[in-house]
Amino acid sequence: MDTPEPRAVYEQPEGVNVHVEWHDSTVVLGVSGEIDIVTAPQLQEAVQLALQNTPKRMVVDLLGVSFLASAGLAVLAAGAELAGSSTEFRVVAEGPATARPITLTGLSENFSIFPTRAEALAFEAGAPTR
Amino acid sequence: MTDRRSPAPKHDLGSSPAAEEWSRAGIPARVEELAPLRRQVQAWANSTHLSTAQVGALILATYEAMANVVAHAYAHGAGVFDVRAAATQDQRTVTVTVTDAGRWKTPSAQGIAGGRGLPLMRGLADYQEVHSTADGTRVTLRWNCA
Repeated sequence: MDTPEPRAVYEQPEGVNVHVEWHDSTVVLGVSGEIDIVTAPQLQEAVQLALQNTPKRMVVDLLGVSFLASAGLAVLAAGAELAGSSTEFRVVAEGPATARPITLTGLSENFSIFPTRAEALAFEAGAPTR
Repeated sequence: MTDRRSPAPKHDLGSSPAAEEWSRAGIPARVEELAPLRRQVQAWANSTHLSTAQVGALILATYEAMANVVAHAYAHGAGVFDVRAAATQDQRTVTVTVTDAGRWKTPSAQGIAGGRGLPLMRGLADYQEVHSTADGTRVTLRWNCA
């Protein structure tokens, strides 16, 4: 018999959701929910899996994220490092929930940050802007 | 759930000398305790005079302090910790303390909190203090309501 575990009444299973989209050689990870110690490994796994295909560019879109803890920052830092020079690693973040922890910990030096996905996808380093 | 940003409860006006407070003691230092605690802290913080941005900062900083306890304070996760959150009676200042009785594991080369938890706490709070003795550690975080 499959009896669900009893849960505290205030617990809401938030978790994190990662939606992966490929556009030619660019992979976009649309992340939503909360990234903490428990859920960060799921994001880590999604990043690693996508990088295995050696995309030219990876965009991690955090605009749907309501909570980003240091465990999530560690995943972003590790992702940028794993991407190395093979994959251009970009993050979409804006506001107190996502951009604030990233800039407070100096991670804006590890990867480029954009306020919208469209800007992250459109920006070509060194190319004239339209 | 508590309404976001509800005004200070009227029954608090002059009826009690104690500040508005929320606390939990003897919390098992286990990772599965953290998300439910975060929700409770969020509900309490929303009832204070903190701005929306400050509420977010408080939730994250408090979470990092609690996560530190789970990760570092006790060798085999068998310890407990306390969390206390209080606003002064004039509602201008909010203080959170996270207290454990552990002997923190030898700090790794990255320092406590895997390297980023501590800078986060420092950047998010108006005042932050980590007080460690052989008997335990107390993290104090404070905000002045904007």
